Amino acid sequence: MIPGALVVTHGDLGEVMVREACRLIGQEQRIVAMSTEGLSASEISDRVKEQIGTEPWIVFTDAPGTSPTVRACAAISSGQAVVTGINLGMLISFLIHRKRLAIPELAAKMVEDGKRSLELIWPRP
Amino acid sequence: MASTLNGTVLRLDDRRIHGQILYGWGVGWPADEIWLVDRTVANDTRERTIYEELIAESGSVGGVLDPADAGTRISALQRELPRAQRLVVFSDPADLKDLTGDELQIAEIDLAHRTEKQGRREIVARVYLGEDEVELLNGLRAKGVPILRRDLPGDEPVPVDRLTIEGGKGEQ
Repeated sequence: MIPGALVVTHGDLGEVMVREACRLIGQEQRIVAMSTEGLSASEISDRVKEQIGTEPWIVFTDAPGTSPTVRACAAISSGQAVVTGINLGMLISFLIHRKRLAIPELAAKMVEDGKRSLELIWPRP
Repeated sequence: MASTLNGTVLRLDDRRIHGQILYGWGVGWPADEIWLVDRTVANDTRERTIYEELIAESGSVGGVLDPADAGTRISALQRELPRAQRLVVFSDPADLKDLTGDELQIAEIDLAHRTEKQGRREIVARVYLGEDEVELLNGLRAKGVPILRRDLPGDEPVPVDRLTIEGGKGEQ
């Protein structure tokens, strides 16, 4: 089973990222966005659990210390991971590499590729 | 704009500790202490660890308290460090019974967020309460505890003059 990506964010941020990543790469299987808008802490973790079950998923979130991240950490089980600081480069990398890497390696690569997409482009350093 | 708010602020928020608490209150106020009063979290090792680490990483003192111990513990802290800016987040209004003893000095109770459920009405924006909970808050208001709608310390607080379950939204 290929790893899934659940993108949990404030507002519609995740929905836009998922849509644009899929548009660029062309895969739409097991990649889902979820907004935390208006939900309590328990409702967020319940919905995350409902979506990912115990299958291999990475939960991507937008910022450390915020509801999406905290409640995803409370919701995941063994063989799943939470990666925060999502950006489009990271999500594109996920879609490219998810068929050949297991969750722990894939999660580590997401962090690496996410950081790689942070760069001062101009003026050149 | 710097906030002139001081003392112990109680905040009703069923999202528990999150970005607005850590950044808006932890950094923006700034809160010297952040406490989460929540029976479920206090009695679940994993949940408790998540929130304790979160508060510690934010640089604030604090942690997770069971509602049964919270009033005594926070009152003791008030005696020990009377000038501390202390944010106490609770997710269940019923816990105010344990939390607000005679000893606890409360600067204000902020109604921030509670989700909609059967038997609850929207009292102020994004805060849904049941009849007993409204009575409890009205009792505290009658004792002189300010009850406000406030998200962040720099926001202009909106006093909730009278909570009413019948009419839905309270007078503001």
